[in-house]
Amino acid sequence: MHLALKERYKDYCGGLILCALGAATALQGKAYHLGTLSRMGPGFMPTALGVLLLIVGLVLLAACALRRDEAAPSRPSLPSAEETIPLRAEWRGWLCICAGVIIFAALAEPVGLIPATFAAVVVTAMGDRENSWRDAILLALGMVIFAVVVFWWGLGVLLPLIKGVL
Amino acid sequence: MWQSILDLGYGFGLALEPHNLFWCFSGVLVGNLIGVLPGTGALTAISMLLPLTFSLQPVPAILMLAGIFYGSQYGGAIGAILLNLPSHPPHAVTCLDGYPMTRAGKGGTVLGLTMISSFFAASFGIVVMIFASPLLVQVAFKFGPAELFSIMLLGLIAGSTMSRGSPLKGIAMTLIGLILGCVGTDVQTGLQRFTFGLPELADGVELVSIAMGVFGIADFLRHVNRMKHIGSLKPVSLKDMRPSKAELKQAFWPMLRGTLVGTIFGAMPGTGPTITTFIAYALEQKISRTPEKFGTGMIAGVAAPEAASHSKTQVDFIPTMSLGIPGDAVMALLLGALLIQGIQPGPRLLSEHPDIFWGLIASFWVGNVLLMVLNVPMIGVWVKLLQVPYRFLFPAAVFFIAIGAYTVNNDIFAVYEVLAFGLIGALFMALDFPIAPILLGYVLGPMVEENFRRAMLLSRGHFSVFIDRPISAAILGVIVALLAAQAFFSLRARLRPRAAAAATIAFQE
Repeated sequence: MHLALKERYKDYCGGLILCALGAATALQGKAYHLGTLSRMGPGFMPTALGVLLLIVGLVLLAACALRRDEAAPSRPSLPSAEETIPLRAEWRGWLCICAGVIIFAALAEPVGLIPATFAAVVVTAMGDRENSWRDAILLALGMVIFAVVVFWWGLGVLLPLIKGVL
Repeated sequence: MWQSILDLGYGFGLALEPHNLFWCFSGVLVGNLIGVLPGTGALTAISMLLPLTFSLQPVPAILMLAGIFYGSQYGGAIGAILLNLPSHPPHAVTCLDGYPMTRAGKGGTVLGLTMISSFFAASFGIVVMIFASPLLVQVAFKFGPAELFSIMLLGLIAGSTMSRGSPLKGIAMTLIGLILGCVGTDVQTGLQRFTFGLPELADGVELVSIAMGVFGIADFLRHVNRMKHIGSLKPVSLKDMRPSKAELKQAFWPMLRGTLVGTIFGAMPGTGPTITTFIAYALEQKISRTPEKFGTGMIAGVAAPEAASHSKTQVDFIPTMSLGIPGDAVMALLLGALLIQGIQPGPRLLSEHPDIFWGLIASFWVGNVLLMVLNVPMIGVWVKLLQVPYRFLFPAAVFFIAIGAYTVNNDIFAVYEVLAFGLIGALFMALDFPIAPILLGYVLGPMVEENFRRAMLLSRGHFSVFIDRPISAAILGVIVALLAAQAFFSLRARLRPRAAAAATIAFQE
């Protein structure tokens, strides 16, 4: 039962998101020139796609509401990477991965490739609960060497190594 | 016919040029390496390495990408057989019998057999491609905008409803991809759509950013702290990999049947690789004299699906290269890579860029040979790589993705784009949406719009143009039949939940 309820909750959320996205796209698309069927303007396709997305979202919501709470047909189990995962929120991991990408983007041009790589890898690595600071720093040092050799020296990336110094 | 063989000779000359061979080799090597690493499949490998190929000439770039694709595909099979861990969904079926054989101490033999089956199937698929592509090109020259629109619609609908998960959700993701394709400057009027005043969006959303976001970052967000720990493995030596004569004999017919299944499914646009392997497996089980033994380590249960997956991959290239219409997300990525290189795949590719077309075909074969040559001595290394802990793997990969996105245009904006698509992809994955159709929709979006607008302009606004033209009408008929079959199977599954569950799975996976 619990599982069936959860599925339903997912479909409700998904349907609502689709409706919102579809409606927003259609409204924004209407702001561009719609044109006629024989001479379509730039707004025609986005509006049409937005309306279609809205319809799909509504159908998904309707299917959710109509579906009786019968047990879902049991699926023959296929091994997959995801099945064994206990699904809990992983805020630490999520925040660290996002922060890692943002740090790289924020530091690369104003500060340089070496500090950006180092900081991004350390922060991302700390997202895994099993990584110690020592492991993270060693991994980051390895990646810095790799970044300099492959990307800066080998591929000629246009970033300064350390801004103002190299 | 003779022309094809002559052209192929030219292609081999091109593929065997030392620097092209070098890029093909590095593609296979790196692809294999990434494919073996737990949690990263072919899509991740290609997306991560796509920016590296931008600095190359078109021919070596596409040779390298094809090499990456093969390498990662085979690498994925290694993880599935030795660890029961499919990092690429088509290999889920390989696990069923591959892993039990590993536990019985025959892991090396299965790897060897997989390699032989893949090579055989790929070679067969290449032969089909050599002779079928020029024929398809001749037909394709007769296509007008209406036919092109219909066939793209077929690709989109098949790709979204026959991939994994609920068909409705697949369609939703395709629509989102199509909308993403609208972002940027409208080709016909020059109007900027959905740019929200950001000059970086004027050229549209970057393909690499979408791919690395939804297949890279989203994957890491999903797996962080959740990937199961991998214990130690028995080393596999070269001697273990050689199958005995009896085993080869056992594998021969399944391999042949798997190859044929893959070829047939490859010819149908939009049928995903997972359903192909699943059907190859089901077929073997059905005609086997001992169907109850499947799942306990049958050679046929590994040889047939692996052969099917490789021949399908080859045949999949036919519509991608000769019509410019990709069948699945991997093909869409490769097509996108070609577009970035300034090459428009389609009927004219064969006449305008024969070097690309025939060089690619020859390099497929060369790539498969390299894969064999490479894996025999390297298998020990791959087994070691399988044990690299995820906690080291994903920080390094996140860095690769960040710098990879930057190098596309030397623009930091792309890095933020990757993050945004990563979050979107993770959200939809958490809600059980298949995310691969996003990419299919994005790549086809601009072409769909252009051809639809042109067809409607020519017909002065009458939808009947899509039914009046025979080829287009036939394609639309196929779409209707496909949707009807889908509805039938899902209805039957609902009425007889237990008996038909397997059939539905086969159709939806």
